[in-house]
Amino acid sequence: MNTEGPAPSVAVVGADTGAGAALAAGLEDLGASVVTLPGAVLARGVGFRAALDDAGRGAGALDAVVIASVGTGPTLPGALSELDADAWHARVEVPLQRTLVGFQGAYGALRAGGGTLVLVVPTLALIGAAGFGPWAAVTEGQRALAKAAGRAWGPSAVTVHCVAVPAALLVREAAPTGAGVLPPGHETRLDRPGQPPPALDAPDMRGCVAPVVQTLISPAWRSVTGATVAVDGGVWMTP
Amino acid sequence: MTGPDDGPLRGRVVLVTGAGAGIGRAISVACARAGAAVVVSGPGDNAAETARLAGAQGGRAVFARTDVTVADEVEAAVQRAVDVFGGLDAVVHNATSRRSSDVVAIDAIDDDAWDDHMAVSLRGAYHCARFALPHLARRRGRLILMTSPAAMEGSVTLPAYAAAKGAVRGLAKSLALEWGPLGVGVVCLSPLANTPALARAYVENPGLEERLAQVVPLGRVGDSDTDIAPVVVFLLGEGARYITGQTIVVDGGRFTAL
Repeated sequence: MNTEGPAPSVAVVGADTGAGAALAAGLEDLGASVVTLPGAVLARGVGFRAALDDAGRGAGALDAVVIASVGTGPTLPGALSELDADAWHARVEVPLQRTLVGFQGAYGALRAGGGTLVLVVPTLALIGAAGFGPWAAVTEGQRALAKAAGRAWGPSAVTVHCVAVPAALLVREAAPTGAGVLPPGHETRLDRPGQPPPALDAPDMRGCVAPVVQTLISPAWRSVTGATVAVDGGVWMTP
Repeated sequence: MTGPDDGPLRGRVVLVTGAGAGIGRAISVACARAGAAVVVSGPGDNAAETARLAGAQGGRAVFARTDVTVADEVEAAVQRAVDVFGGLDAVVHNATSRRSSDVVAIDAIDDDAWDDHMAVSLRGAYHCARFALPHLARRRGRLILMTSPAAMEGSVTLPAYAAAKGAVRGLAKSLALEWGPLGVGVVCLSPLANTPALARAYVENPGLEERLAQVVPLGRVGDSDTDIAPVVVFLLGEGARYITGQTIVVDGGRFTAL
Protein backbone atom coordinates (compact mmCIF):
# COMPACT_ATOMS: atom_id res chain seq x y z
CA MET A 1 0.00 0.00 0.00
CA ASN A 2 1.12 3.50 -0.71
CA THR A 3 2.34 4.91 2.59
CA GLU A 4 4.84 7.44 1.36
CA GLY A 5 2.47 10.04 0.02
CA PRO A 6 2.03 11.29 -3.48
CA ALA A 7 3.72 8.79 -5.79
CA PRO A 8 1.79 5.53 -5.85
CA SER A 9 2.48 2.88 -8.44
CA VAL A 10 -0.71 2.16 -10.33
CA ALA A 11 -1.73 -0.22 -13.12
CA VAL A 12 -4.61 1.14 -15.19
CA VAL A 13 -6.43 -1.60 -17.07
CA GLY A 14 -8.57 -0.65 -20.04
CA ALA A 15 -6.29 2.23 -20.94
CA ASP A 16 -6.93 1.46 -24.60
CA THR A 17 -10.24 3.26 -24.20
CA GLY A 18 -10.42 7.01 -24.16
CA ALA A 19 -11.76 6.98 -20.61
CA GLY A 20 -8.99 4.69 -19.39
CA ALA A 21 -6.32 6.72 -21.15
CA ALA A 22 -7.66 9.95 -19.70
CA LEU A 23 -7.75 8.43 -16.24
CA ALA A 24 -4.16 7.20 -16.60
CA ALA A 25 -3.07 10.63 -17.77
CA GLY A 26 -4.84 12.24 -14.85
CA LEU A 27 -3.10 9.97 -12.37
CA GLU A 28 0.24 10.78 -13.97
CA ASP A 29 -0.62 14.47 -13.71
CA LEU A 30 -0.94 13.88 -9.97
CA GLY A 31 2.45 12.23 -9.76
CA ALA A 32 1.54 8.56 -9.85
CA SER A 33 3.76 6.06 -11.57
CA VAL A 34 1.34 4.54 -14.05
CA VAL A 35 1.51 1.38 -16.13
CA THR A 36 -1.23 1.01 -18.71
CA LEU A 37 -2.74 -2.24 -19.93
CA PRO A 38 -5.42 -2.91 -22.54
CA GLY A 39 -8.76 -4.33 -21.50
CA ALA A 40 -8.10 -7.45 -23.53
CA VAL A 41 -5.52 -8.54 -20.97
CA LEU A 42 -8.47 -9.52 -18.76
CA ALA A 43 -9.57 -12.26 -21.14
CA ARG A 44 -9.41 -15.74 -19.74
CA GLY A 45 -6.11 -17.43 -20.34
CA VAL A 46 -4.27 -14.31 -21.39
CA GLY A 47 -2.31 -14.00 -18.18
CA PHE A 48 -3.46 -10.89 -16.42
CA ARG A 49 -1.61 -11.78 -13.25
CA ALA A 50 1.64 -12.18 -15.16
CA ALA A 51 1.02 -8.83 -16.84
CA LEU A 52 0.64 -7.23 -13.44
CA ASP A 53 3.82 -8.88 -12.23
CA ASP A 54 5.62 -7.44 -15.24
CA ALA A 55 4.10 -4.06 -14.48
CA GLY A 56 5.28 -4.33 -10.90
CA ARG A 57 8.80 -5.10 -12.01
CA GLY A 58 8.79 -2.07 -14.25
CA ALA A 59 7.16 0.46 -11.97
CA GLY A 60 7.89 -0.87 -8.52
CA ALA A 61 5.51 -2.87 -6.35
CA LEU A 62 1.99 -1.92 -7.27
CA ASP A 63 -0.06 0.10 -4.83
CA ALA A 64 -3.22 -0.06 -6.85
CA VAL A 65 -4.94 -1.64 -9.80
CA VAL A 66 -7.58 0.46 -11.54
CA ILE A 67 -9.93 -1.31 -13.94
CA ALA A 68 -11.28 1.44 -16.16
CA SER A 69 -12.92 -0.88 -18.67
CA VAL A 70 -13.59 -4.58 -19.16
CA GLY A 71 -14.42 -3.95 -22.81
CA THR A 72 -16.94 -1.90 -24.71
CA GLY A 73 -19.41 -4.76 -25.24
CA PRO A 74 -21.67 -3.83 -22.32
CA THR A 75 -21.94 -0.23 -23.46
CA LEU A 76 -23.78 -1.08 -26.66
CA PRO A 77 -27.46 -0.16 -26.58
CA GLY A 78 -30.40 -2.34 -27.41
CA ALA A 79 -33.66 -3.65 -26.02
CA LEU A 80 -33.17 -6.88 -24.13
CA SER A 81 -35.88 -8.62 -26.10
CA GLU A 82 -33.86 -8.00 -29.26
CA LEU A 83 -30.65 -9.35 -27.83
CA ASP A 84 -29.73 -12.77 -29.18
CA ALA A 85 -27.77 -15.35 -27.23
CA ASP A 86 -24.42 -14.46 -28.76
CA ALA A 87 -24.90 -10.78 -28.01
CA TRP A 88 -25.92 -11.58 -24.43
CA HIS A 89 -22.79 -13.66 -23.98
CA ALA A 90 -20.55 -10.97 -25.44
CA ARG A 91 -22.14 -8.06 -23.60
CA VAL A 92 -22.78 -9.63 -20.21
CA GLU A 93 -21.09 -12.94 -19.53
CA VAL A 94 -17.72 -12.17 -21.08
CA PRO A 95 -17.36 -8.83 -19.25
CA LEU A 96 -18.26 -10.54 -15.99
CA GLN A 97 -15.69 -13.26 -16.69
CA ARG A 98 -13.15 -10.51 -17.27
CA THR A 99 -14.17 -8.92 -14.02
CA LEU A 100 -13.38 -12.08 -12.11
CA VAL A 101 -10.03 -12.36 -13.87
CA GLY A 102 -9.36 -8.75 -12.91
CA PHE A 103 -10.20 -9.32 -9.27
CA GLN A 104 -8.19 -12.50 -8.99
CA GLY A 105 -5.17 -10.99 -10.71
CA ALA A 106 -5.31 -7.79 -8.70
CA TYR A 107 -5.51 -9.67 -5.43
CA GLY A 108 -2.55 -11.80 -6.42
CA ALA A 109 -0.53 -8.69 -7.16
CA LEU A 110 -1.57 -6.71 -4.08
CA ARG A 111 -2.01 -9.22 -1.29
CA ALA A 112 1.63 -9.32 -0.20
CA GLY A 113 1.94 -5.62 0.51
CA GLY A 114 -1.64 -4.41 0.57
CA GLY A 115 -3.18 -1.97 -1.84
CA THR A 116 -6.37 -0.96 -3.56
CA LEU A 117 -8.48 -2.21 -6.44
CA VAL A 118 -10.68 0.43 -8.05
CA LEU A 119 -13.34 -0.21 -10.67
CA VAL A 120 -14.72 2.58 -12.80
CA VAL A 121 -18.41 1.95 -13.44
CA PRO A 122 -21.33 3.91 -14.89
CA THR A 123 -23.85 5.53 -12.59
CA LEU A 124 -26.60 4.08 -14.74
CA ALA A 125 -26.21 0.81 -12.89
CA LEU A 126 -27.25 2.46 -9.65
CA ILE A 127 -30.58 3.47 -11.09
CA GLY A 128 -31.07 1.43 -14.27
CA ALA A 129 -31.32 2.58 -17.87
CA ALA A 130 -33.71 1.48 -20.57
CA GLY A 131 -31.81 -0.09 -23.42
CA PHE A 132 -28.75 -0.71 -21.31
CA GLY A 133 -29.74 -3.77 -19.30
CA PRO A 134 -26.51 -5.59 -20.09
CA TRP A 135 -24.34 -2.74 -18.88
CA ALA A 136 -26.34 -2.35 -15.70
CA ALA A 137 -26.22 -6.10 -15.08
CA VAL A 138 -22.46 -6.23 -15.53
CA THR A 139 -21.93 -3.25 -13.27
CA GLU A 140 -24.17 -4.41 -10.47
CA GLY A 141 -22.41 -7.75 -10.62
CA GLN A 142 -19.11 -5.92 -10.34
CA ARG A 143 -20.30 -3.85 -7.40
CA ALA A 144 -21.52 -6.92 -5.55
CA LEU A 145 -18.21 -8.65 -6.16
CA ALA A 146 -16.37 -5.53 -5.00
CA LYS A 147 -18.24 -5.64 -1.71
CA ALA A 148 -17.52 -9.34 -1.35
CA ALA A 149 -13.85 -8.72 -2.03
CA GLY A 150 -13.74 -5.74 0.29
CA ARG A 151 -14.99 -7.95 3.10
CA ALA A 152 -12.70 -10.84 2.27
CA TRP A 153 -9.48 -8.99 1.60
CA GLY A 154 -9.49 -6.57 4.50
CA PRO A 155 -7.15 -8.75 6.57
CA SER A 156 -4.62 -8.49 3.74
CA ALA A 157 -4.97 -4.69 3.74
CA VAL A 158 -6.39 -4.84 0.25
CA THR A 159 -9.29 -2.45 -0.20
CA VAL A 160 -11.78 -2.37 -3.05
CA HIS A 161 -13.85 0.53 -4.34
CA CYS A 162 -16.06 1.48 -7.24
CA VAL A 163 -16.06 4.93 -8.74
CA ALA A 164 -19.33 5.62 -10.52
CA VAL A 165 -19.20 8.19 -13.28
CA PRO A 166 -21.79 9.34 -15.79
CA ALA A 167 -22.27 6.63 -18.38
CA ALA A 168 -22.11 9.21 -21.13
CA LEU A 169 -18.59 10.03 -20.02
CA LEU A 170 -17.49 6.44 -20.48
CA VAL A 171 -19.27 6.08 -23.79
CA ARG A 172 -17.95 9.34 -25.12
CA GLU A 173 -14.44 8.32 -24.22
CA ALA A 174 -14.81 4.63 -25.02
CA ALA A 175 -12.78 4.78 -28.20
CA PRO A 176 -9.14 5.90 -28.35
CA THR A 177 -10.06 8.65 -30.75
CA GLY A 178 -12.62 10.06 -28.37
CA ALA A 179 -15.39 9.11 -30.75
CA GLY A 180 -18.45 7.61 -29.11
CA VAL A 181 -19.40 4.00 -29.70
CA LEU A 182 -23.12 4.67 -29.61
CA PRO A 183 -25.25 5.28 -32.67
CA PRO A 184 -26.50 8.86 -32.92
CA GLY A 185 -29.25 9.63 -30.47
CA HIS A 186 -28.56 6.85 -27.99
CA GLU A 187 -26.41 8.95 -25.73
CA THR A 188 -29.44 10.93 -24.72
CA ARG A 189 -30.97 7.78 -23.23
CA LEU A 190 -28.16 7.40 -20.74
CA ASP A 191 -28.49 8.56 -17.17
CA ARG A 192 -32.26 8.97 -17.23
CA PRO A 193 -32.93 12.13 -19.24
CA GLY A 194 -35.33 14.53 -17.61
CA GLN A 195 -33.86 14.28 -14.16
CA PRO A 196 -32.67 17.40 -12.33
CA PRO A 197 -29.39 18.78 -13.66
CA PRO A 198 -26.16 18.04 -11.83
CA ALA A 199 -25.62 20.13 -8.73
CA LEU A 200 -22.03 20.70 -9.86
CA ASP A 201 -20.29 20.97 -13.18
CA ALA A 202 -20.19 17.75 -15.18
CA PRO A 203 -16.99 15.83 -14.37
CA ASP A 204 -14.31 14.71 -16.77
CA MET A 205 -12.01 11.73 -16.36
CA ARG A 206 -8.64 13.44 -16.30
CA GLY A 207 -9.37 16.44 -14.14
CA CYS A 208 -12.18 15.20 -11.90
CA VAL A 209 -12.26 11.42 -11.68
CA ALA A 210 -8.51 10.85 -11.50
CA PRO A 211 -8.09 12.92 -8.30
CA VAL A 212 -10.84 10.92 -6.63
CA VAL A 213 -9.14 7.67 -7.60
CA GLN A 214 -5.85 9.06 -6.36
CA THR A 215 -7.51 9.80 -3.04
CA LEU A 216 -9.13 6.38 -2.77
CA ILE A 217 -5.77 4.64 -3.15
CA SER A 218 -4.11 6.86 -0.56
CA PRO A 219 -3.56 5.91 3.08
CA ALA A 220 -6.27 8.35 4.11
CA TRP A 221 -8.84 5.82 2.88
CA ARG A 222 -7.33 2.77 4.53
CA SER A 223 -10.36 2.36 6.79
CA VAL A 224 -12.82 2.38 3.93
CA THR A 225 -13.58 -0.51 1.64
CA GLY A 226 -16.42 -1.80 -0.49
CA ALA A 227 -17.63 1.72 -1.20
CA THR A 228 -19.12 3.15 -4.36
CA VAL A 229 -18.23 6.80 -4.78
CA ALA A 230 -20.35 8.62 -7.33
CA VAL A 231 -18.39 11.25 -9.24
CA ASP A 232 -21.32 12.55 -11.22
CA GLY A 233 -21.54 16.19 -10.25
CA GLY A 234 -24.29 15.46 -7.77
CA VAL A 235 -27.00 13.97 -9.99
CA TRP A 236 -28.22 10.92 -8.16
CA MET A 237 -27.14 11.32 -4.56
CA THR A 238 -28.01 7.67 -3.98
CA PRO A 239 -28.35 6.34 -0.45
CA MET B 1 -60.26 -16.85 4.03
CA THR B 2 -59.81 -16.71 0.29
CA GLY B 3 -59.27 -19.74 -1.92
CA PRO B 4 -58.49 -20.35 -5.57
CA ASP B 5 -61.96 -19.29 -6.66
CA ASP B 6 -61.81 -15.85 -5.11
CA GLY B 7 -58.09 -15.37 -4.49
CA PRO B 8 -56.09 -12.31 -5.49
CA LEU B 9 -54.48 -14.09 -8.44
CA ARG B 10 -57.66 -15.61 -9.82
CA GLY B 11 -57.51 -15.78 -13.59
CA ARG B 12 -53.79 -15.15 -13.77
CA VAL B 13 -51.12 -17.44 -15.15
CA VAL B 14 -47.77 -17.60 -13.38
CA LEU B 15 -44.58 -19.37 -14.41
CA VAL B 16 -42.19 -20.21 -11.55
CA THR B 17 -38.63 -21.40 -12.22
CA GLY B 18 -36.59 -23.37 -9.75
CA ALA B 19 -39.83 -24.66 -8.30
CA GLY B 20 -38.68 -28.10 -7.22
CA ALA B 21 -38.09 -27.20 -3.60
CA GLY B 22 -37.72 -24.43 -1.09
CA ILE B 23 -38.90 -20.95 -1.98
CA GLY B 24 -39.86 -21.91 -5.53
CA ARG B 25 -42.12 -24.65 -4.28
CA ALA B 26 -43.65 -22.36 -1.68
CA ILE B 27 -44.33 -19.68 -4.28
CA SER B 28 -45.92 -22.16 -6.67
CA VAL B 29 -48.24 -23.55 -4.03
CA ALA B 30 -49.14 -20.10 -2.73
CA CYS B 31 -49.91 -18.82 -6.21
CA ALA B 32 -52.17 -21.79 -6.86
CA ARG B 33 -53.91 -21.26 -3.56
CA ALA B 34 -54.39 -17.61 -4.53
CA GLY B 35 -56.15 -18.63 -7.70
CA ALA B 36 -53.40 -18.58 -10.30
CA ALA B 37 -52.80 -21.23 -12.88
CA VAL B 38 -49.17 -22.17 -12.37
CA VAL B 39 -46.52 -23.53 -14.70
CA VAL B 40 -44.14 -25.21 -12.31
CA SER B 41 -40.74 -25.44 -13.90
CA GLY B 42 -37.55 -27.08 -12.80
CA PRO B 43 -34.94 -29.44 -14.17
CA GLY B 44 -35.88 -32.39 -11.97
CA ASP B 45 -38.83 -34.54 -10.98
CA ASN B 46 -39.25 -32.68 -7.71
CA ALA B 47 -40.87 -29.86 -9.67
CA ALA B 48 -43.49 -32.35 -10.82
CA GLU B 49 -44.19 -33.05 -7.17
CA THR B 50 -44.54 -29.30 -6.61
CA ALA B 51 -47.11 -29.19 -9.40
CA ARG B 52 -49.01 -31.98 -7.67
CA LEU B 53 -48.92 -30.08 -4.38
CA ALA B 54 -50.06 -26.88 -6.07
CA GLY B 55 -52.90 -28.71 -7.76
CA ALA B 56 -53.92 -30.15 -4.42
CA GLN B 57 -54.63 -26.61 -3.27
CA GLY B 58 -57.54 -26.53 -5.64
CA GLY B 59 -55.68 -24.53 -8.26
CA ARG B 60 -54.40 -25.53 -11.62
CA ALA B 61 -50.78 -26.42 -12.13
CA VAL B 62 -48.68 -28.14 -14.76
CA PHE B 63 -45.08 -29.24 -14.70
CA ALA B 64 -42.58 -28.07 -17.31
CA ARG B 65 -39.19 -29.70 -17.15
CA THR B 66 -36.88 -26.76 -17.65
CA ASP B 67 -33.20 -26.04 -17.46
CA VAL B 68 -33.23 -22.24 -17.43
CA THR B 69 -29.74 -22.08 -18.88
CA VAL B 70 -31.09 -23.51 -22.13
CA ALA B 71 -33.00 -21.00 -24.22
CA ASP B 72 -35.20 -23.53 -25.98
CA GLU B 73 -36.37 -25.02 -22.70
CA VAL B 74 -37.39 -21.66 -21.28
CA GLU B 75 -39.16 -20.81 -24.49
CA ALA B 76 -41.00 -24.13 -24.28
CA ALA B 77 -42.04 -23.47 -20.68
CA VAL B 78 -43.44 -20.09 -21.68
CA GLN B 79 -45.25 -21.68 -24.59
CA ARG B 80 -46.68 -24.31 -22.27
CA ALA B 81 -48.31 -21.56 -20.26
CA VAL B 82 -49.86 -20.19 -23.41
CA ASP B 83 -50.94 -23.56 -24.74
CA VAL B 84 -52.41 -24.88 -21.50
CA PHE B 85 -53.70 -21.74 -19.81
CA GLY B 86 -54.10 -19.30 -22.68
CA GLY B 87 -51.45 -16.75 -21.83
CA LEU B 88 -48.93 -15.61 -19.28
CA ASP B 89 -49.28 -12.90 -16.64
CA ALA B 90 -46.14 -13.31 -14.61
CA VAL B 91 -42.80 -15.03 -14.34
CA VAL B 92 -41.03 -15.63 -11.06
CA HIS B 93 -37.42 -16.54 -11.79
CA ASN B 94 -36.31 -18.30 -8.66
CA ALA B 95 -33.84 -20.82 -10.08
CA THR B 96 -30.29 -20.50 -8.86
CA SER B 97 -27.13 -22.52 -9.23
CA ARG B 98 -26.88 -25.76 -7.29
CA ARG B 99 -23.51 -24.38 -6.22
CA SER B 100 -25.08 -21.31 -4.66
CA SER B 101 -24.20 -22.42 -1.14
CA ASP B 102 -20.68 -23.65 -1.96
CA VAL B 103 -18.21 -21.74 0.17
CA VAL B 104 -15.28 -20.51 -1.90
CA ALA B 105 -12.89 -17.56 -1.78
CA ILE B 106 -12.79 -15.17 -4.72
CA ASP B 107 -9.28 -16.15 -5.71
CA ALA B 108 -10.30 -19.82 -5.72
CA ILE B 109 -13.37 -19.50 -7.96
CA ASP B 110 -12.81 -21.58 -11.08
CA ASP B 111 -14.32 -20.92 -14.47
CA ASP B 112 -16.87 -23.72 -14.21
CA ALA B 113 -18.28 -22.51 -10.91
CA TRP B 114 -18.41 -18.90 -12.07
CA ASP B 115 -20.11 -19.82 -15.31
CA ASP B 116 -22.66 -21.98 -13.54
CA HIS B 117 -23.69 -19.15 -11.22
CA MET B 118 -24.03 -16.76 -14.12
CA ALA B 119 -25.84 -19.28 -16.31
CA VAL B 120 -28.62 -20.14 -13.89
CA SER B 121 -29.33 -16.87 -12.10
CA LEU B 122 -28.42 -14.34 -14.76
CA ARG B 123 -28.69 -16.02 -18.15
CA GLY B 124 -31.82 -17.72 -16.85
CA ALA B 125 -33.25 -14.29 -16.07
CA TYR B 126 -32.39 -13.15 -19.58
CA HIS B 127 -34.12 -16.17 -21.09
CA CYS B 128 -37.21 -15.64 -18.96
CA ALA B 129 -37.34 -11.96 -19.83
CA ARG B 130 -36.74 -12.44 -23.52
CA PHE B 131 -39.32 -15.14 -24.11
CA ALA B 132 -41.96 -13.92 -21.69
CA LEU B 133 -42.04 -10.27 -22.73
CA PRO B 134 -44.45 -10.58 -25.68
CA HIS B 135 -46.94 -12.36 -23.43
CA LEU B 136 -46.40 -10.14 -20.40
CA ALA B 137 -46.88 -7.05 -22.53
CA ARG B 138 -50.28 -8.27 -23.69
CA ARG B 139 -51.48 -8.55 -20.09
CA ARG B 140 -49.52 -5.78 -18.38
CA GLY B 141 -47.74 -8.51 -16.49
CA ARG B 142 -44.94 -8.85 -13.98
CA LEU B 143 -41.45 -10.26 -13.85
CA ILE B 144 -40.03 -11.07 -10.45
CA LEU B 145 -36.35 -11.91 -10.21
CA MET B 146 -35.07 -13.40 -7.00
CA THR B 147 -31.94 -11.79 -5.64
CA SER B 148 -30.14 -12.00 -2.32
CA PRO B 149 -28.77 -9.89 0.51
CA ALA B 150 -25.37 -10.94 -0.81
CA ALA B 151 -26.07 -8.86 -3.91
CA MET B 152 -26.38 -5.70 -1.87
CA GLU B 153 -23.76 -6.18 0.81
CA GLY B 154 -21.34 -8.70 -0.67
CA SER B 155 -20.43 -12.06 0.79
CA VAL B 156 -17.08 -13.36 1.91
CA THR B 157 -18.16 -16.96 1.53
CA LEU B 158 -20.38 -16.74 -1.56
CA PRO B 159 -18.76 -14.16 -3.86
CA ALA B 160 -19.84 -15.69 -7.19
CA TYR B 161 -23.38 -15.99 -5.91
CA ALA B 162 -23.23 -12.37 -4.78
CA ALA B 163 -22.02 -11.22 -8.19
CA ALA B 164 -24.69 -13.16 -10.06
CA LYS B 165 -27.46 -11.88 -7.83
CA GLY B 166 -26.08 -8.36 -8.03
CA ALA B 167 -26.14 -8.55 -11.80
CA VAL B 168 -29.75 -9.66 -11.63
CA ARG B 169 -30.58 -6.48 -9.72
CA GLY B 170 -28.93 -4.35 -12.39
CA LEU B 171 -30.87 -6.13 -15.07
CA ALA B 172 -34.14 -5.75 -13.19
CA LYS B 173 -33.73 -2.01 -12.69
CA SER B 174 -33.07 -1.45 -16.37
CA LEU B 175 -35.88 -3.74 -17.49
CA ALA B 176 -38.27 -1.89 -15.21
CA LEU B 177 -37.46 1.29 -17.11
CA GLU B 178 -37.45 -0.41 -20.49
CA TRP B 179 -40.76 -2.17 -19.97
CA GLY B 180 -42.58 0.47 -17.98
CA PRO B 181 -44.15 2.00 -21.10
CA LEU B 182 -45.50 -1.46 -21.90
CA GLY B 183 -47.15 -1.66 -18.50
CA VAL B 184 -44.94 -4.52 -17.40
CA GLY B 185 -43.53 -4.36 -13.89
CA VAL B 186 -40.16 -5.79 -12.90
CA VAL B 187 -39.23 -6.32 -9.29
CA CYS B 188 -36.45 -8.06 -7.40
CA LEU B 189 -37.16 -9.88 -4.19
CA SER B 190 -34.42 -10.53 -1.66
CA PRO B 191 -35.53 -13.23 0.76
CA LEU B 192 -34.02 -14.68 3.87
CA ALA B 193 -35.60 -18.04 4.49
CA ASN B 194 -34.74 -21.56 5.48
CA THR B 195 -34.31 -23.44 2.23
CA PRO B 196 -32.48 -26.58 1.14
CA ALA B 197 -29.65 -24.31 -0.06
CA LEU B 198 -29.44 -22.57 3.29
CA ALA B 199 -29.55 -25.95 5.03
CA ARG B 200 -26.46 -26.92 3.04
CA ALA B 201 -24.84 -23.63 4.01
CA TYR B 202 -25.53 -24.42 7.66
CA VAL B 203 -23.63 -27.68 7.23
CA GLU B 204 -20.70 -25.97 5.53
CA ASN B 205 -20.66 -23.05 7.91
CA PRO B 206 -21.31 -24.21 11.47
CA GLY B 207 -22.83 -21.54 13.61
CA LEU B 208 -24.35 -19.72 10.66
CA GLU B 209 -27.92 -20.45 11.66
CA GLU B 210 -27.41 -19.11 15.16
CA ARG B 211 -25.59 -16.04 13.89
CA LEU B 212 -28.31 -15.31 11.38
CA ALA B 213 -31.01 -15.50 14.00
CA GLN B 214 -29.04 -13.08 16.17
CA VAL B 215 -28.77 -10.44 13.47
CA VAL B 216 -32.39 -10.57 12.36
CA PRO B 217 -34.37 -8.04 14.35
CA LEU B 218 -37.42 -10.25 14.19
CA GLY B 219 -35.31 -12.97 15.75
CA ARG B 220 -35.56 -15.81 13.28
CA VAL B 221 -34.80 -16.90 9.75
CA GLY B 222 -37.89 -16.68 7.59
CA ASP B 223 -40.16 -19.44 6.43
CA SER B 224 -40.68 -19.91 2.69
CA ASP B 225 -44.37 -20.71 3.02
CA THR B 226 -45.46 -18.16 5.55
CA ASP B 227 -42.95 -15.31 5.17
CA ILE B 228 -41.79 -15.24 1.54
CA ALA B 229 -44.49 -16.70 -0.68
CA PRO B 230 -47.25 -14.36 0.56
CA VAL B 231 -45.13 -11.36 -0.42
CA VAL B 232 -44.70 -12.78 -3.92
CA VAL B 233 -48.46 -13.27 -4.16
CA PHE B 234 -48.90 -9.64 -3.21
CA LEU B 235 -46.33 -8.50 -5.78
CA LEU B 236 -48.16 -10.43 -8.48
CA GLY B 237 -51.52 -9.02 -7.47
CA GLU B 238 -53.40 -5.87 -8.34
CA GLY B 239 -52.30 -4.06 -5.20
CA ALA B 240 -48.69 -3.99 -6.39
CA ARG B 241 -49.35 -2.59 -9.85
CA TYR B 242 -47.50 0.68 -9.09
CA ILE B 243 -44.37 -1.04 -7.81
CA THR B 244 -41.55 -1.54 -10.28
CA GLY B 245 -37.78 -1.34 -10.37
CA GLN B 246 -37.47 -2.03 -6.66
CA THR B 247 -35.71 -4.64 -4.59
CA ILE B 248 -38.15 -5.85 -1.98
CA VAL B 249 -36.19 -7.11 0.99
CA VAL B 250 -38.00 -9.79 3.00
CA ASP B 251 -35.52 -10.68 5.70
CA GLY B 252 -36.98 -9.85 9.10
CA GLY B 253 -35.26 -6.46 9.08
CA ARG B 254 -31.70 -7.71 8.83
CA PHE B 255 -30.67 -5.47 5.91
CA THR B 256 -31.73 -1.87 6.34
CA ALA B 257 -29.14 0.02 4.32
CA LEU B 258 -31.07 0.78 1.13
